[in-house]
Amino acid sequence: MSSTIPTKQELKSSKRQLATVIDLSKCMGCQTCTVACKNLWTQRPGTEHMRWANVATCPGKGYPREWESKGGGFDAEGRPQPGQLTTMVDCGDNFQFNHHEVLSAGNAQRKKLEPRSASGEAPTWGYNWDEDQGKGEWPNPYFFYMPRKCNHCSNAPCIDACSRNAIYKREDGIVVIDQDRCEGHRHCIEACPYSMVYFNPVSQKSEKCIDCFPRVEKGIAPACNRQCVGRTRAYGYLDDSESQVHKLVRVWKVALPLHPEFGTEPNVFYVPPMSPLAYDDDGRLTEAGRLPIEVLEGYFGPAVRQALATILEERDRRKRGEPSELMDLLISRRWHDRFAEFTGEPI
Amino acid sequence: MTTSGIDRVPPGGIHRRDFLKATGAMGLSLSLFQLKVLAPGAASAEPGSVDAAVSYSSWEDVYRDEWRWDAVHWGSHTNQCAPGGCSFRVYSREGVVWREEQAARSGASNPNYPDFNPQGCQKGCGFHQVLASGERVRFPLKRVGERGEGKWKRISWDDALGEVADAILDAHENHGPESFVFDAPHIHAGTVALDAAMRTTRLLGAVMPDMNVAIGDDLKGLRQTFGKMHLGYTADNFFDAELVVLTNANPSYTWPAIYHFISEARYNGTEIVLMAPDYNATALVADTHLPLRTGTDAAFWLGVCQVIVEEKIHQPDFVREQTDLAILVRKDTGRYLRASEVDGGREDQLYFLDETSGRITEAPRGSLKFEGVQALAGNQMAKLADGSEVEVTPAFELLRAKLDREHRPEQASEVCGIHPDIIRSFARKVATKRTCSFIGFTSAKQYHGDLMERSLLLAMGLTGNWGKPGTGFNCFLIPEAGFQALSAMDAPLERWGLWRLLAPAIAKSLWMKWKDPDVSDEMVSIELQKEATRDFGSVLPTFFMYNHAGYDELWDRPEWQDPSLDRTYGQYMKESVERGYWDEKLVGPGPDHPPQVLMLMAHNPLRRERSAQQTYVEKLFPKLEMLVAVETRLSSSAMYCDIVLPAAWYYEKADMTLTFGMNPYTCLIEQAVKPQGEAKPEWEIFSGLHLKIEERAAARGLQSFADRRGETQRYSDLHKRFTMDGHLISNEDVVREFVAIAENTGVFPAGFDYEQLKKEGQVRVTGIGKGYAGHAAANEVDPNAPFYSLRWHVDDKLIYPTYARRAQFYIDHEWFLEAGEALPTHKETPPIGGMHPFRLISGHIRGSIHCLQAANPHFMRLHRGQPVLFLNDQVAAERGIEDGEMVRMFNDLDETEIMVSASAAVGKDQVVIYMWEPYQFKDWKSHDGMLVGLPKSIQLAGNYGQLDYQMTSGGPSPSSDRGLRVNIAKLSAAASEAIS
Repeated sequence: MSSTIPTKQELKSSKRQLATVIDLSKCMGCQTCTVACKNLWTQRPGTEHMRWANVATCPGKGYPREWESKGGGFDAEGRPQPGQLTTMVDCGDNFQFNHHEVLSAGNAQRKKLEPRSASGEAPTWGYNWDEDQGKGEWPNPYFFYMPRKCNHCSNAPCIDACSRNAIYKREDGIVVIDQDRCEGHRHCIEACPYSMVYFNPVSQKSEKCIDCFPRVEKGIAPACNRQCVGRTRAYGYLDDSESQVHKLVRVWKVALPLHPEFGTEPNVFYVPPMSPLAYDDDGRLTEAGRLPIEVLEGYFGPAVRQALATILEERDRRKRGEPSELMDLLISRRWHDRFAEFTGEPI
Repeated sequence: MTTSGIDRVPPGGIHRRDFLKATGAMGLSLSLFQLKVLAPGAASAEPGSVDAAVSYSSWEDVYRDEWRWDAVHWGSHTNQCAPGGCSFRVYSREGVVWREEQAARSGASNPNYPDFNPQGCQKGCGFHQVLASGERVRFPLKRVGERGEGKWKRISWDDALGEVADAILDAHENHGPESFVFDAPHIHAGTVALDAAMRTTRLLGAVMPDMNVAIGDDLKGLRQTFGKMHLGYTADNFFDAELVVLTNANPSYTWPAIYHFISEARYNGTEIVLMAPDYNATALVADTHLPLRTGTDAAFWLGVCQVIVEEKIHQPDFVREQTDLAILVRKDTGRYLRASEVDGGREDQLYFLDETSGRITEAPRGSLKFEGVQALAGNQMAKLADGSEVEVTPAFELLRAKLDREHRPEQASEVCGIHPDIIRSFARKVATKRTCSFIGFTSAKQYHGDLMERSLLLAMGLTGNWGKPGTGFNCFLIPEAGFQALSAMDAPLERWGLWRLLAPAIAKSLWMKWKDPDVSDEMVSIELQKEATRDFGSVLPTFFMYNHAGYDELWDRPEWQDPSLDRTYGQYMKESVERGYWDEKLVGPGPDHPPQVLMLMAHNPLRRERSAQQTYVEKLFPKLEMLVAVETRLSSSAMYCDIVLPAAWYYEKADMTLTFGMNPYTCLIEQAVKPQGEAKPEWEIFSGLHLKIEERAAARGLQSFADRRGETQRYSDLHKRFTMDGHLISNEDVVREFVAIAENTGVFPAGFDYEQLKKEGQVRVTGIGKGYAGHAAANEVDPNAPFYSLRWHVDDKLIYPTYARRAQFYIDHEWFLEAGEALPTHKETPPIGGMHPFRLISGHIRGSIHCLQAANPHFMRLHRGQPVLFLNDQVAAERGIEDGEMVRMFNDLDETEIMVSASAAVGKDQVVIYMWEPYQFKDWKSHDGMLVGLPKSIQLAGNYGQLDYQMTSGGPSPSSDRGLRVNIAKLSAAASEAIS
């Protein structure tokens, strides 16, 4: 027996930890991150249905469909919880279209261009299916966008679950699935409470977000982060006290993990969204944002109250013309400041 | 292999070993090489799992190998996304574009403002996906079945151009040059392509129904008020505002590249207000979402104005000087008091009541400066030349009375649905804060959009909110970066081509100033634009549509007209010509000159022209001898063409973006890969067409024809003239010329040249231009500060190019008085298409610029992959309609089938449908069929200063798809509901 088999704890540990902060007050749901990622990583055969970077309208069924109720992760005592696999349709499908039939087969006006699901039928679900639907009653509807990717968790359940020891954390904290070792058992998919691991039916292996490590190694921020046109994202090492991720997560504590109760210690953090003022029954404006705080708590836990209060207080300072380091961070006049040392040009 | 100056990876990409050496990442990647003893209980004890020494990172090359390319070029998507102009890097491998990424090399105006990075949205970041997609045209196609049937035969370029050339010559011989109609070539195709199309139209004496006016990207209210609409600001101007009002716009969908300036201004303490009938995606960035009932913006803004005036929180000095509200109006006729009736002077010499002297005094025509104090209140008797006396009062007095009578917040609230308290508090904010508004083009798609804009502008004018940092409006601020001049030049810059344009301009200026010494340079520039408009064959689109495309049947229905008018659109149209408002050249071709050849370029009338599925298909197309498209993709309209000429798309040809104000950078597009199939750049296509026309004309023994100026032109000169005697052969030649012109006119920095653009990929503009655009913007560019417009008027007291020579809120044109629109007012959208319970609103879909990517699989996989109708979720439930159900939507004219998306974010009396290709609907009948597009009759008014037309602006637009009434029904119930 060789003496070189690592422990799960070793596979889960790293020297440093890269992290992403996503500001939900700046996210417009444009899907640029989705497009950026897809064009880079998931056009290969078997990956077409995957959106390692994705955005869904919240509240809503989410991406993959109803991922929040699929289990996985850990309970309060740290015990792994059973989870579920996702289907290709849950993961957004990969609609096929009938261009030839419509455009050049002499069927004009008789055939329309339409999507076909992987099931072979007209789709009843797909990526971003409930876009912009939201909740609430007119004139107080509300929604916000939830951009996601692998959380590269510090306590990654996918690593624990892998029967092949194929999943590990790199020294920079990025969690990857060794494509040579993976045999497609899919325990990781069930274990991940964020449903951010996908199955490639062609290679018969699991794949997921690699945090663009080939870019990161060259000092270039991941594509979803760098290409975000809304400038929602900051990137860097959590222990780098000069980085925005450190300042927003550790110092200002306004960036929070999604569903901390899953117990996986995610390394993607969210600045909770402000929302337009709500109307009262007479049609007057109230003083409160329309997004119920309970809804936000459902995503980010109780810490969201203080985080949002801090943001609103600091914004009030700016309204009064006073300086605010937090607002300057969230604005980031210099776009490069968002990415710590990962400001290399992607050439 | 590559041509640009970017440092890049050598051909073949990076080898892993090279990579490790180059990056020094060895330590990082090897971290898990030193593996340890298998701990008891480790998962890998599972049988058949890990049982040998393992290397945990060598596999990582699987992904590293994807991160390589053969070449990187500069790219962008001009002007598919007209406002964007975002600089990209385009990555190709083995001759195929693999991906693109924002270059993100823009700076900030100065460190106090956010910079312009990364600039580039999902449409740009996935653009390469359209290059080889199913809707792409790769070879010249000839229709072999019936029109629109979708049966094609591949033919050679020579045959294709021969057929088109013959059809054009047939048209020339049988009906004259104007029977060749180039239906609104769109800048989508690219800046070089549009120049090719415009030069072609001009050289062949063809006619071009104005694209910008036709689609309704023409803010009429801005033109009526300021005499121009080409003004704006850079996006960082939001940062200087204390209040930003977004209206008729959804920039989260349509302008993602500038959205961060809004969200960041919000963090900086700026208050953001969004006015929109639905809770659209941009509402997320707002402090307040004002859910106005569709089409009631004017009522809201006039309520705001009433509060401002009543509470005396307006800025009287600004109002006196910058607006016409101090000008005296006759109480008996409602017309201005004019010198022509006072002392036989000029008809457009108007008057103030001077508070210092108590006398009626001439309002200066050459400057906004006035020695005295213009009264804003009071009545005075004025003596006319015939000895009679009339009572006059400042327009402001009339305004105040109207506001108090009709527009108190309680009254406004009844109409727009916003609580009076909110109207009051909003008014106080506008009056006390630096306020910047952003008016989207939805305003110009509403029948009374001009009234909405005028009412907004009135509130801004009362409070002094333009011509200063952090204030203003935005609409098509387009620096003259070579494109505009080149379309008109007959010789290149180096052969004095620009100077040859200047000579007649100087003559025109001298003549105009001799006739009226108080004419401004800006007014001269507008007159020159109007002349160019005629030379290019640019015509008012509504005349073309009414006379040739069957719109008379839609636009003359009495029951759909504005009830405050007693005549139909057609009657106004006829009258406008009789009154001499529009000359022959602007209304052609006349009804007796049927179009013979209709050419489309990046233009999709079946989507874009309202109800074109009935009108164009049934009335216009049958008249045509040839319908031809120069297209990158098979649009719904291209499907009806006899010939489709395949055009190269971005990354397949050299080009340069235009700058559209918000983003002050112009960027280069290089040819990164060969065009698909036999596609060619438009410049080459038109160049070839000119040669072919020469050849065929010679064969027919044809010598010459008359162009739009009436000058005789020889067929044998066409190619020589098109290419400036061989100077402009390729797209790259043209881009090089753009850069030279832009440098010469100060739009690009002094000394900047094409080589520098190749190196840097983009350039920040240093000027707006010396022609019309520069005057319209009315401020100099400071590259180290945000740009804003109209400063020359406010600080330097330059007159506005309007009839009253001030920002004009009182328009005493006979038709405006007749319609009750002399002052801004609120009117309901006429019952166009019938009265039904839901109000339609529309706009661009999120994942496509117009519908260019709407039928592209990559982009369709970002949503339901098909058109949807957003319907309020409660209303859907009440009607028994499920989310995802197909329903029938209809009005009196047409119907469509569409999938419902039941959404909380839509009001209960609204439906929202964005733009789609008609062929994405059953029977290819999209909702566009219901739109009618009735233009606003009184926009036909002319002979009155700014009420005129120049290319891209003025005259009526067939653009009234917002606020129309429609109904929906379950498909099962459809049979029982007859359409009247």
